[in-house]
Parts: sequence; C-alpha cells; structure tokens
Amino acid sequence: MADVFTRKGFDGSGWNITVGALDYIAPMGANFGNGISVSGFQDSTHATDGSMSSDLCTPNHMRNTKYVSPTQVSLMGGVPVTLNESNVGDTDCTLRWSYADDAPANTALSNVRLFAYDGSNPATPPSGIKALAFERRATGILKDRVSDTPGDGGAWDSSKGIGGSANALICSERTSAATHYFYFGLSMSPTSKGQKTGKLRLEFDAQ
Amino acid sequence: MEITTRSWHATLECGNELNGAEYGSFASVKHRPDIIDVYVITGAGKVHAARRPGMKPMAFDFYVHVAVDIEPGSPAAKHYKLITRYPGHALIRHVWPDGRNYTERIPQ
Repeated sequence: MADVFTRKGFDGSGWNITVGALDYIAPMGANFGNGISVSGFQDSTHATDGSMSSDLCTPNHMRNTKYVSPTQVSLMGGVPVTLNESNVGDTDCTLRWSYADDAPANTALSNVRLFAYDGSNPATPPSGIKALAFERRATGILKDRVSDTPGDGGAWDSSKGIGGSANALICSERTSAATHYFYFGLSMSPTSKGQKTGKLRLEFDAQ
Repeated sequence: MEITTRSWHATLECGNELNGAEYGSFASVKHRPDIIDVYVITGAGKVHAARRPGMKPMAFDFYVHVAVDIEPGSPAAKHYKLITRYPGHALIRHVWPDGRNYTERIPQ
C-alpha cells in the first residue's frame, strides 16, 4: 500500500498551503516569530521549515483556531464563538489532512486517533506543551478522547488535551472511499518558557 | 515487503483459499461463515491469526494499522492486525513484515 498523504492549510481562497514532509506547523503570537505567553494560546498559526525561521504561508497564513474555553473558539483572532459545526466550517480549520491508497484502492478507516507526543515515545506528551484539538464534521464537532467519558470533550479542554496516545482525540470513522479528508482545529499553549517541539500523530486501521 | 490492505489470505472449510489480490478488501469476505483461518506472508513465513485452543472463532477480521506523523511528516509506520473474534472478546495478532508479532486480548 503506497500511501498518499497530504497536509494542507487554507489560505483564504483554497487549500494552497502545503505542509511538506519536512515542514512544521508553528503556533505563534500575533505574528510569525512572536512568542506565546506561558499558559496562553497561540494568536497565529504558520507553516515553517526545519530552521523555524521562514514563514511558508505568507501573506495569507494558515487558519488559526485559538482555544477560548471548552465550548468556544476564536477564529483568526475574531470574537469568540461557540465551537460547533455552524460557526466553524472546514475552511476555518487549521489543517486538512488527507489519505489515499494510490494502488489505487478504496479503503475504509476505523479507530482513527489524533494525539501529540514528544517525538520519541507516543505515550509521552510533548514536553512543555498543552496541545488541544477538535475534528470538524458537517454533522458536528468531535472532541472526545479515548480516556474520556463520552461527551466530556477533553481534547478541547485546557485542563486535559491530547498529550500522549492514551489521550488521543477520537476521530470519525470513514466508509470505503478513494480519498479521506480530515479537518482539524489545533491550539497550543506553552507550559513553560522557551522554544518547544513535538509531533502530531494520526493513527488508524485501514481495510 | 510492502504492507497492503490486500495482503491477506483466508482458508475455507473446504480447503480452498481466498486472497486479497483476487478479492480486494477483506471487507468483501469478512462475513463468510466458512473462513477457518486468516494469515499473512512475512519475511519469516506465514503468520496466522491467533487462536484459543478448544474454542471455535466466531469470525475473523483483517486491517492494516497506519501511524503517520503530521509534522514533520514521515513515512507511515504500518503493520497488520489479524483479528479473531470470540464471544465477549477478541484476539488481535499484530504482525510486522519481518514476522515479528504479538497478541493482545481485548473485550468486545
């Protein structure tokens, strides 16, 4: 199964911001290069390269979904809105991630999970980072974690988050199709001073 | 050895075999009641679905588990999951292309 994965950001007109194989998604302050206050959440989101010194999404940046509360989000610095599928569209999301089997063969996906980790051990949360996420579907916003009681929405809760595989966001299952698209809102907060790195991992079973 | 969703082989009660190259996704055959075994071919030979001695499985299932980092992206890590279902629980044999494998039991 030679897989085709794409990671894209919306630039205001289309999913034209490519997060390449060696690129990073960088949450930052008001502008590229600005820091985020400890315990605060990002005011902007950018694609950057391994040097972390180049803004790859200028002048139209990746969509920013800033955590406000377990039930609210600020989109591109706007007034906080209720986090639901009416207020948050696919094109408001930080990242569109797609998967296709290029055999080509249709696949169905199950047990889809998204989590952040330290880059070495999937069970370990990223050091110094509180990572939050939701998946946007036309039928609703998904924010429960595998460790949650259903309905708790811990993936979009600053006291919980998706750090480590045990706290992964439960994403939507997909029936058989050639290509699958996932729309994620992401929000990050430093828990201490200094530059932070980590990884986001998506896992699923394909059939 | 490439891992694909078509890499499965299934043995039927009559002795015949089905395979993914011919039938495509395991979803197309998973409901057949006459499947008595599922296996994959690895660098170490055939690796079969796990079994409980003395118990007849209710059903079998087959998946490819994929893990991919979004940023920075990297080649996806993949392995097979051969599932044997029994009343109240299932055995999942995780299998890598070099033949390494382990079995976990999960409630269902």
